[in-house]
Amino acid sequence: MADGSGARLNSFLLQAQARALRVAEISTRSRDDALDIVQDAMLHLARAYGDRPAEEWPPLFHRILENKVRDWQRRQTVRNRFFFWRQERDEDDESQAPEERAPDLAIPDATERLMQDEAMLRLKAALVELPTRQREAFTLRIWEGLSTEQTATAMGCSDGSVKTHLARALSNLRGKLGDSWSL
Amino acid sequence: MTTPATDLDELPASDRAFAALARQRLRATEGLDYVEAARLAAARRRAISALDRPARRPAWLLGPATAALALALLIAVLPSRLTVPANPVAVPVNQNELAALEWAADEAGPDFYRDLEFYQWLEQHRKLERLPEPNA
Repeated sequence: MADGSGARLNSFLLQAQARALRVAEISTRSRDDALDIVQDAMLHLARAYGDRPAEEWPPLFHRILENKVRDWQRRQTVRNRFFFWRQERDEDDESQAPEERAPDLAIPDATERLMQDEAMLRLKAALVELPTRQREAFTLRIWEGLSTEQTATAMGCSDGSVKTHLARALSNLRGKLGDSWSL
Repeated sequence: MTTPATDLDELPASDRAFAALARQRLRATEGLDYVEAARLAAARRRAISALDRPARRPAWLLGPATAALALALLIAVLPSRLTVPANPVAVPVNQNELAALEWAADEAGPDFYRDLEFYQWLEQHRKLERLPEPNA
């Protein structure tokens, strides 16, 4: 049983890890914290639900991930309350000089790439500003591609609530980003 | 996990195009660099090895559980120790048993002495119960 389930779990985690990392990064705005969260979520899934059928893993994994993000946010709130005098960590990569971070516009498609990157930054910034439940619904349903039923399992709510949260999320995002974002 | 091509069809038409574009752009950012890939690979290995190990009880649970067990034993033992028998009887020591116990106690840890005290009390209690009542 161990070999079979180990291979299945590895396959699932391999497929889910990158997206889980980017989702956690949006909430934490820290790659290292996001990596820690994803690592903990993987271990938690294996220990608590490793014996469940593989088709149950996607919503379970995302539920675990969201819970770990919330735990991180609570710790940050407490930490900021007690250590408010500490400067907020700059999440930008300051190891690179500004000119090194700028794209080389002489490269073909660099302008297109720059526009794509800017669109992504705006989308991620808008996602951070969404209420938690709307962000969860959008992340799971649109980004991850879970079905409404799987999303409801991951969020611990009804299918109807998922649709409501998603509709509001999409409306909020389109309002923040504007029509030009979709061009 | 493959995403069905029509999973966005249940969305209103006004949201469908936006959702599809957002999905495309978000998924384009999922490439991992070397550090991320290495850390996640290590995490996957730890998760898979955890499949063979049962979930551990959290350490914080051991303290209260042990304390509860000790309290239960104390409640069971204490009332008998508080009552003074009318005719306390000195329990004769079996020298052979004592020798065996001393041999076993050479390398025994604290648990051995704790258990020894309990079983000595139990033996004493049983012998007391077998004695006739003073005013029977």
